[in-house]
Amino acid sequence: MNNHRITGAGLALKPTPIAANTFDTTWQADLALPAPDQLQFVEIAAEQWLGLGGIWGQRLQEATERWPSVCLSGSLSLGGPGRLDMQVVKQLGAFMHKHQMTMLSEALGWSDDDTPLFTCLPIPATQDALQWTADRITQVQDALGLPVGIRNVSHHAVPPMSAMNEAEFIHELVNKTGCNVHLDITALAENSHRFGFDALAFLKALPMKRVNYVRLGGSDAASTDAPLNQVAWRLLPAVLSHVHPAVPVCVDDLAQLKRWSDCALKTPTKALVC
Amino acid sequence: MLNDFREFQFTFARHLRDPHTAPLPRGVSAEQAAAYERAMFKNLCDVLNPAFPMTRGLLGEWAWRATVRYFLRDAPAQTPWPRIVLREFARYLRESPVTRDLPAWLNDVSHFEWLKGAVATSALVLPEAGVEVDVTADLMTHIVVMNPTYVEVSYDWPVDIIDLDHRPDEMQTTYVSVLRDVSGAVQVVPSNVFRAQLLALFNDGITGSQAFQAMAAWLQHPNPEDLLSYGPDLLAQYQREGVILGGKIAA
Repeated sequence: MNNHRITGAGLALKPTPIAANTFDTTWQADLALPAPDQLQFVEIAAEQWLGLGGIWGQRLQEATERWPSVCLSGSLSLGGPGRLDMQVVKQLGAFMHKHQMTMLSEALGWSDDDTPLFTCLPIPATQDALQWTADRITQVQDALGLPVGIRNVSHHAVPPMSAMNEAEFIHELVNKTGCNVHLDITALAENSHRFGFDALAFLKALPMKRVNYVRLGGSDAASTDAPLNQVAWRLLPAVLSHVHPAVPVCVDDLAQLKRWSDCALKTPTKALVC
Repeated sequence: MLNDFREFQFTFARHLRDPHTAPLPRGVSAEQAAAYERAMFKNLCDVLNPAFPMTRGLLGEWAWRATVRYFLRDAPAQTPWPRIVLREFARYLRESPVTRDLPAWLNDVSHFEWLKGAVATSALVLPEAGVEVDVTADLMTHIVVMNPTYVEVSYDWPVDIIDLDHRPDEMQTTYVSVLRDVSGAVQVVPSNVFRAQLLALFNDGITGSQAFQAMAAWLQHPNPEDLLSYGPDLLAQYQREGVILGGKIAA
């Protein structure tokens, strides 16, 4: 699926846990991705798929041959305190190359202290951390030869020492590195709910012209927390009215996909002015 | 000297890995730190739990969770990719001092579980690129092509019969062949020393006849022709099991 621009609506490819008896269980039923007309791309989480062969690799190969794909990652630890692991960057690059992925969505956070922490933490937004993170984003972009999309993630804490809010931090990173912004609306809704800030104001402070990927869903909290889910869906028109119509939107399941299509049709462009 | 923010991050990470010993850094509440600990634990268990159902069941939930927490504390996984995490966890179960007091047979069980998952997800393809296989070839006269995912392993304990209701009393050397068949399913086949030795010979790219002659010499068999007469049936059996893919087509 080379030379395809990522646009329209996509689905996150659901992971299948690694277990020797996977084959005996629901695998076969799960093997074929549904192919509704609305689906234009798939999103592949590196932490769930990288390095897997066998039926996992086969399923991934089938999906990425059929649709253009976006690489979702939370493993580069862009704001991490240790060394930037160039081996991880290289492995991610090889994975993207193998599946002809041209778009990388990387969590804006830190997820290791030289070895993985298996979660993504917020970067203390100091001037030093800003430069530190920008330098690492530049290193990743140089190594991979493509712009990184930095993606906002859900947080449980506002780190101490912060000299600016996350929207300002993102804005500065874009200025310093030329990276793109990937907007996770569910994470934004969660954070605004948890820390009591105005999500629309956050959007206004972002360089919306640099947003070239939008995600909806992808949160455990959102799937069980109906009001939060509604907040995320209410934010969607505001986001869509500020980004280019061709910006791709990724959702978690088919019901969401249908709902997204309806929502996109109803959204007047430029309803809100940034 | 580290910048302040990095100092904070390292301190925070140490606390998250070992909350009872390493202090919480200033500026983070205990509740916030606990939320991250839960997230780390859950994300790691999402990978580990499905891959080690028997080990987890035999350990019991309390010991399993404790082991996962020690693994987070000691941080042996160098990269976050699932196969690496599973491999390092299996190694940790066998080698870490914190698991020293577990029953010896548990080492074999966890290794066996890890091995099956590793074979299932191996990036090797069948047959290997560039190798042409004739599945109908006479294996006695053709170079035998092995399944590249096939692994021969021996355990001190009877891993194939241990489960939640059968914990072993006695050691019993157990040979198994583990492989992924052409449909992608993992197969475990009981094995033995003779079979393991014979199958290892095919790594050198030889015919069935050559392999049985070598075995006859190794066993100092008084009548090699007798041993060779078993060849076609045994090789056909190995091919049915998926250990042997077929005969090599000459380039």
